[in-house]
Amino acid sequence: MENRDHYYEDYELGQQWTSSGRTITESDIVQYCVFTHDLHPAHMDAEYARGTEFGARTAPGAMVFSYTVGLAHHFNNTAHFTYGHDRLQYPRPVFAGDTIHARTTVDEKREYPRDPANWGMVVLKYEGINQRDEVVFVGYHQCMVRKRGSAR
Amino acid sequence: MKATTRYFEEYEVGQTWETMGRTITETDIVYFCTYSTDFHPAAVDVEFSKQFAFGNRISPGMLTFQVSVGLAGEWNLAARTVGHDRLRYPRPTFAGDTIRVRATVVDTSPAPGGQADAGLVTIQYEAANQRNETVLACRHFLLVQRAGV
Repeated sequence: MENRDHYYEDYELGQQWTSSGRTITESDIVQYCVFTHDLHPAHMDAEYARGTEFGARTAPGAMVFSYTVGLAHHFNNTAHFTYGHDRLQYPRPVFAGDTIHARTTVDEKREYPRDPANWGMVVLKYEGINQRDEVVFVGYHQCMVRKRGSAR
Repeated sequence: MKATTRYFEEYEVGQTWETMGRTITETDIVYFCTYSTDFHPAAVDVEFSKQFAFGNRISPGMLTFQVSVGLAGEWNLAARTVGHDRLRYPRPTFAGDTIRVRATVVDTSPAPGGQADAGLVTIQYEAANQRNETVLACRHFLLVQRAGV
């Protein structure tokens, strides 16, 4: 993984790239839930989960979010800051043993009104996709990205 | 803490609660970057971070979000998460900062798609640090069963 300045001008609307896969393991789920203290029985209690609509423990949505974003980046963009994340959705459950990959799309580009000479806004759409090609996560990343030649 | 059952009818707009605090440690930051494989230098490289006004590694926004959701989550057996929206990180969080979360029910509405046995509850989370500065705001959408169905 390298650090690179990837400027506003370097993003093209509609550009798309796909990551390699990562299998979500039982360890991932248990470690994440203990770490964040999200001990909801849907994630932590196999007996309880057997009786739910999904039939087994699921990975928390907030976890699938960060795993997808971690996969999505092929390099660290040192010309960007995170402004926010919008419309995170978890349309299907993720179980231990599922393998997900990330598909990233440059969804929107616009001027940053407070400082248009130096910054632009880029919206990246992330999709987490499992081994059956089902979308398990969708979210939008609002990035503030430097323009080429901007004042540091 | 213990898992409970709280039905849709038990949520009212304006209900609010505040969590205990949690100190974000250096361990948390390194651990987050490791499990998520999100190794942005602003979070993992002390030398890189020195060039910025902050002067120190920051907790990734997603980490602050996950810790906040973990603090504020109810372990409600009648609810499941369908989404989060408008995650904003107005100030940086550093190792050593202690955050706590105020949760407020901001909307209760029929379930999307006309599902009769559940409703949609929207909860606003605001995480503040030890100086009472907001470091994270977001909305949490929960599909919650109705009582007696």
